[in-house]
Amino acid sequence: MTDIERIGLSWEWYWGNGFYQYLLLAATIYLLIFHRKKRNVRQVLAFSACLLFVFLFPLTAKCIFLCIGRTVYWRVLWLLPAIPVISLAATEFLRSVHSKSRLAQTLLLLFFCGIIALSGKDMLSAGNYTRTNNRMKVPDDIAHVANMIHAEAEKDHLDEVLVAGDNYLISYLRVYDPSIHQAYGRELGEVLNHRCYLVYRQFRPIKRNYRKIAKLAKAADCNFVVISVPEKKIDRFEQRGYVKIGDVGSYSVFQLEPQSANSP
Amino acid sequence: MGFIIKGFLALIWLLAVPTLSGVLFLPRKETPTTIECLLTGYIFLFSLFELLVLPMIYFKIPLHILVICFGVLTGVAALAGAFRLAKDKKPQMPDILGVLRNSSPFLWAAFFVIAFQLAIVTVFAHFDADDAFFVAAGTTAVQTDTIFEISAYTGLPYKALPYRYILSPFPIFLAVISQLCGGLHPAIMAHTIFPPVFLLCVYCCVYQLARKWFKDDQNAQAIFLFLTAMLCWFSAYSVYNTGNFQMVRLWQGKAVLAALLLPLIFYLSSSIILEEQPQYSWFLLFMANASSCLLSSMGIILAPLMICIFAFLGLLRFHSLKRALYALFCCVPSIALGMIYLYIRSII
Repeated sequence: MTDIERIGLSWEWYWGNGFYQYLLLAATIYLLIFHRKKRNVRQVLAFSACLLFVFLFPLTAKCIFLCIGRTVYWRVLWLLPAIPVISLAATEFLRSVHSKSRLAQTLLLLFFCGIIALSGKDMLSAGNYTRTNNRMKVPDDIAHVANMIHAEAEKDHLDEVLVAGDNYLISYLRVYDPSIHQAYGRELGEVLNHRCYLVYRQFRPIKRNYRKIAKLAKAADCNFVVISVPEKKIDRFEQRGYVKIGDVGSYSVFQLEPQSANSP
Repeated sequence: MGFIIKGFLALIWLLAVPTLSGVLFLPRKETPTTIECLLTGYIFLFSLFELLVLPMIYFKIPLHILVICFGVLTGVAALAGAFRLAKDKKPQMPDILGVLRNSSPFLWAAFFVIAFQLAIVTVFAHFDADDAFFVAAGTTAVQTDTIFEISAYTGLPYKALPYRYILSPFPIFLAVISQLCGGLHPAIMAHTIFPPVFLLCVYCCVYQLARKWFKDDQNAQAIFLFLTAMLCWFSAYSVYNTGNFQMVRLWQGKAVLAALLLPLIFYLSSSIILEEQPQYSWFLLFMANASSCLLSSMGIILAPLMICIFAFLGLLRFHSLKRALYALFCCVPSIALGMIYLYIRSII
């Protein structure tokens, strides 16, 4: 991907499927035509122009690529005061009608709210929020898995708990209970050793080889494995000394029997 | 310790201490508003934390030492701020109800939209996989009483220094604050306490901008605040924009940077660099730059970029090299940390 394409892609990512960039354009044009003599307007528009130049100009973009990386170049647009500029323009417009009628101002404000709603997407309907039954606000199934592992480890007086699981599970398990250790981190952010790396790789495919996962997890000294496994394939884990200690949602939680830990 | 006591401690450490300590960094000649004090206080807290935590990471100091040092220093600063307020005899106590009674109906509308947003981010949860590092690093630090010695991902000692993160250790700030609040679980602190507190700060910053842009027009200030809150609420059209980061994951350093610190630096820069008589001290801008370094490695680059653009505009307006040099001086934390980052990368 060329630098220009990367800049374009970053722009597209930032604005997504909304119309805020057109609101920004309209706001800028309005401010330039009607309020360009105001000092605050000149300041914010001059800053925005400079920032956009830095963002779009390939040479400056290249320098920033070197500093922050190409994949997160869209973050430069965090500096663009898009929302303040849109609000500024709308407020200036509403100020100009205030002297005529308060009612007209209120109706126009409602009209602007409608435009904003149509141009974007609200946070609730985008599915951003959910409710949990645990105070740590991690997914409930993961909280249950963590509680189950913790209880078993206490019961068996285990000194160390090493868990292998899929990317979703290991993203939240240590947020909830940091006493649990993991063979690897999310997206392989960190991996204990090569054996753990092999376990991680086996978790990735949709069609998993459960026999191989059990074998590799045992070789990597994982005393707990949390995985979605069909009922008829549970014996793959039992053959390697893992016993199922429970189910949570789609997950089955397996524990390596202490006496099986040293057997091949 | 009871949940209520921990909540009360959170109010003290996240609202009272920043507000009182912020008094120390505002010009003495004018009466500071509570909002100004709160925002300035956070700049002080973040920059002080960055200053304390970096040598402690290097010397592998336990977390509880950092908790004590940070608690004592900020506590002393808050007391000093309270003492100064009492001495000056002009504390401006917030009279929110009084303000709302006598103000524009649009301020009521803004108040309700913001209160609704605060309720949503407090009550509901948002699952973000980045918590695997940004929150787990806090829980790990508390669990092991270490600072960046144990991997957040595995729970075992780091094999190599996480050079991408150690210069911006915001998860350790989370760990320290949760310890100061009676040992509240860092995940609860991150997911329930931080979002409403920082969201409040975000709108305080917006209000400051409104006061600057629409001086003596409270109606316009209220409309600006209301529209900004609406625009933020409807920002779910993309997961990359500032509004989205602000509304869904305001416990992560990068989100606080995007939603709070960068707009605050925008406000400060325009009030310092582009004003004939700077309204705040240059040192505050310097501290704001150091604060952005604490929040995210992005802050090390983005904050000076913003300040440099303002310095350029200031140079065009005032033809003053001295002013541009002052602005560049404010970028020293970023420059220093950038060089340290390159050094660490070269030796790993």
